[in-house]
Amino acid sequence: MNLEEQTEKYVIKLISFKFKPAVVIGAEYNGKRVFSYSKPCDSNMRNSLRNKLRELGDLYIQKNGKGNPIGNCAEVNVSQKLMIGNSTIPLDKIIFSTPIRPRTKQPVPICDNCKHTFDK
Amino acid sequence: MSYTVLEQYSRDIDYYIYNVTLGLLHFASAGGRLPRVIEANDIANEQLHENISQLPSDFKYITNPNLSEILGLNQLQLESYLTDFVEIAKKGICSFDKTNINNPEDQTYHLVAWPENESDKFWWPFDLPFQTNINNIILNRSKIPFSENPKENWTFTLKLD
Ligand SMILES: [Zn+2]
Ligand SMILES: [Zn+2]
Repeated sequence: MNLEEQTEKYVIKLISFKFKPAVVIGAEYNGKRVFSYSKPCDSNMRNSLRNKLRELGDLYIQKNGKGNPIGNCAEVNVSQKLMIGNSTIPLDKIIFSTPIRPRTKQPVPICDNCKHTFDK
Repeated sequence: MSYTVLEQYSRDIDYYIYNVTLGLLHFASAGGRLPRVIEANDIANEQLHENISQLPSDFKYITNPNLSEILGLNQLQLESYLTDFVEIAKKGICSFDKTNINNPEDQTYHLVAWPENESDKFWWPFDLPFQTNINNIILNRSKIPFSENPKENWTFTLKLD
């Protein structure tokens, strides 16, 4: 099963619990795969990610008062999960699945914060 | 309690607005900002959604024939897109979705699915926890009265305040 298919399976599982985050995503590095969704991220995180997010502004605050609050995206949450046990993963080398809106299975374009954070 | 900003931007929230003319309307937030009246009434809104989920799903419904065009979806994508909105329409409630999911600030919604019979719109068997005059928060962008505008053209822009 590839990353996209496995992410889709994760989406179906969340829907079966009537759980509807705005975005679900899968991530992969060096053979390890994890899945997560949009929510306020844990404030305890690896320095590389913390420093990159700080360039955007304070955690949980909207840059210029609009858009996704910093650290609230599925991409950030899944990267944190991926870096458990491996703090040296370069942020720009993380492979993401297509971000999906579970309710409709629509692909969700990556936001400007995440483009900056992960050099996409 | 109210829905926090972080919650609004990370959840695809089901919420409801009542109007004397249009009945009970369902909206899917797709991680966008909520109108203040909903933001302030999170518990009542969640309870209402729970109550509606328990209703029988026996209403005949219609889906918007323009969805592929509005959203750029093919036939297969359209099927998975519709599931949740059809569930709501089967309960006798018009179901709207946020049109631009990549822009959380955009307040445009399109009608996805609705009950076939006009009279079905006012049938639910419980009291609404809060009511809001739709004219205060919804702009009918086409400027055509709802009654004269076919439902597939219904596009609402919600005012947050
Ligand atoms: Zn920078
Ligand atoms: Zn993002």
